Amino acid sequence: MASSLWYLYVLTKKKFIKRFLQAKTEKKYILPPKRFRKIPPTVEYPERCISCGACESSCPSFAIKMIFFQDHNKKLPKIDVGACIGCGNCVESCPSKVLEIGNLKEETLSLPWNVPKYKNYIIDEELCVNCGSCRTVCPVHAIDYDKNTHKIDTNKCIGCERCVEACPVVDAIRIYDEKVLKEKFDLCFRIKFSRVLKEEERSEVISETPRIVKSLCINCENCVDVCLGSINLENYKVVSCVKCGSCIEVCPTGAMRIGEVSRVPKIRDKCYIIEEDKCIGCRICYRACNVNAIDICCDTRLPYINPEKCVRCGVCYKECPVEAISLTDMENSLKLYRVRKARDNFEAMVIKDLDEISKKYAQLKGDLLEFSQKEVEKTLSKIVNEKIIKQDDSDATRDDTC
Amino acid sequence: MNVIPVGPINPIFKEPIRIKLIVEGEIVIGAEIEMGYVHRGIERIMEGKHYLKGIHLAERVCGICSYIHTQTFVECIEKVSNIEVPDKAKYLRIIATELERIHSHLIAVAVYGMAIEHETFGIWCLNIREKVMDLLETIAGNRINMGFNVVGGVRQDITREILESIYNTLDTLEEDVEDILEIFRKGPLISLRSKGIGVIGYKEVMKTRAVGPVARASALPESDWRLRHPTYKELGFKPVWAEEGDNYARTLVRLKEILTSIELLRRALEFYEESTGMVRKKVDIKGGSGEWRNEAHRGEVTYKISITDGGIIKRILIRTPTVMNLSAYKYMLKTCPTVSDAVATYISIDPCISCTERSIYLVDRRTGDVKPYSK
Ligand code: SF4
Repeated sequence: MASSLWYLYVLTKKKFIKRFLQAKTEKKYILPPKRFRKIPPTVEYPERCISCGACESSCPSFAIKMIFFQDHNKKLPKIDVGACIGCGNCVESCPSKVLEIGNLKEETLSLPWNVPKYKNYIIDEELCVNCGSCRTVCPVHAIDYDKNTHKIDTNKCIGCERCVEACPVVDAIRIYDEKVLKEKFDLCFRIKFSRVLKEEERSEVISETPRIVKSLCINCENCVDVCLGSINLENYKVVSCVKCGSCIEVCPTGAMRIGEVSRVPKIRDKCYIIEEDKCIGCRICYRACNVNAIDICCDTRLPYINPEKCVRCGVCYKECPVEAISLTDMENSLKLYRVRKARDNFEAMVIKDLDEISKKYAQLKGDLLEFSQKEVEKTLSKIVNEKIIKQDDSDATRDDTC
Repeated sequence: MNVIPVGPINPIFKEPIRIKLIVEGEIVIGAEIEMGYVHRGIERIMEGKHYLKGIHLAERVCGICSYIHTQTFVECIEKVSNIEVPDKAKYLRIIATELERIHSHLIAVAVYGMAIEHETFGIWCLNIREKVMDLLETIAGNRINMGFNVVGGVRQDITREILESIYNTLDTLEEDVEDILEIFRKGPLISLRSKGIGVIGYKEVMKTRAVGPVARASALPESDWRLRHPTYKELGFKPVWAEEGDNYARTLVRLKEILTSIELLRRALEFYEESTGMVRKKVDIKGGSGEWRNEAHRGEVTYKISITDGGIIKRILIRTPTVMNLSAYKYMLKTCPTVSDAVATYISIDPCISCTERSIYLVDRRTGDVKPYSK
């Protein structure tokens, strides 16, 4: 009853009657709004797509898959209409601006964008040989060189993985993904939790105090959380350590490290050699090499490459002005290296021997001279003394007789 | 003494929850609340993910107030890594939040109208809400999950025409809301069913830490976190409050807050027109951890975040307002004469269950092991 009274109240109001009589649909309700989005995004220029997969890794709803198309002869993104949420991440992360979603693209064309990735890339400064291969292949110029080491800009990186392919050293560019991170965060949480419950007592596990590799650290503070001593993450220093080894366990990127690391090249069946007949001996390669793999021969004064140290980065190959460096089989280069090394060693041995002999000779000669001079002086003085004494004696007797 | 189970699936509820009302005849004595029907473990999913994916996930914490969650998340990260937001973006954020607050409050009032069997009132509110939703769509592109916020600003700017359409809609909106308020004040049925029912006093609110309109209806205006937000301070915000602490006061506070929101919107739009520059800045995320609070439409929302360099979420903790408001519900029941009043009281606190249930910890009773539940 009450509500019907209120109907009456509202229906008899002047404003309502006015509105009722002049009722018509406004134009803006018929036309779709201008900024209505086209969902899902479409691939506008498939021929310009570089198949980097940035859209696939940026999609939060897993709606994009890279699929090989026969007529374009490359992988192109295929967008699942049902799963797309129209967030526009793919459009903004596309480095070649191929994708199109309504007029969102126009408005975000020049804006910076951080791409969420399934995999993150980070350079290990202890393993990096600073050859710059990653920098040259990066399609979005996300890698920079800052005097000491190369660095990947996380914000610019689109996760195309080309740098990892180009890098000559195994594991110099580390990959970590959400799964690994989650596991490590979990582990950290569990260790902390059991510590609070006083369940776990850890004895000494590792032999030395670990160090922090600066370029690998992502400041997640997992190590600080589990550390029984203290870690100063601002200066990347372990201040005090009980050697429990938990920090190494929970670090998601392996930035906590003990012991030495060795560089393992990816190409193991081939190696660079220097052809001696072409080489002009300028030694640019010797200066360019970052891993000390090039030695100078004692005999010819020409450089040669040590395949055991060489990481096949190709810096010397690129720098050589007369193209005297080429790539051959590992066996050949190793043979060559051994022959040269043996010759070098022999040469060095001979030179060393000669050196020693001449040194000895000179010393002996000097000794002999000194010795003989002394002897001569001695005998001389002896003779002189004897003669003078004799003369004195004879003089005396002559005096007596006189 | 009898027990009446309500829910978990019940036409009056927006989301599944189970309330066991303890009654003596028709009089309600107490209630037991059971949760855990819609847990989704959203905090666990976020761990180890890039923060941009985190924004999309934070948006899905709640179905109605999705925007304020992204804003709190983003402002928390901005606080951790010391990022200044451009002026335009600040005001755009306020505009979106306040529009969302209007539509959220309108839903709350509409559902309350339905709960006291005044469907017409409810439908009127929902009709008005539609205009706000259209505005939100023109601003951000989507109606609910807008994906509008990013760290360092907002995703896109608005144009002149949109600005004008907001101004125009605000005028009609104000008229409509005033109409609704008039009906709400004068309608006999509404005041009969809601005045003096579900009363909660100042002290009980302090005891249960209730937040939002529930606290403000019991004479606690300083519970509004907008008072402490830097941009709202610029806009000269003043909270709305009432003293009675009953269902009527709570709904009235909501309706009045719509009017303050409209005022705030007008001021924010003016400020927006004066400001220049980009709406989004390039950001560089630094690792660290921090905390940020915002006034969501139901009360205070807290985000605690620990983040690594490059923006990977290490751990996140979300606290939504409904948890505290549900515990206040038990005190309100003391002044509920009938079962249907108890249900109406429950609706008047505007609960949001999927907000509340985010992560679950499994406790093994025998061994006492506690571990987070995932999958
Ligand atoms: S750079 Fe080429 S020419 Fe110069 S020393 Fe090395 S191998 Fe010989």
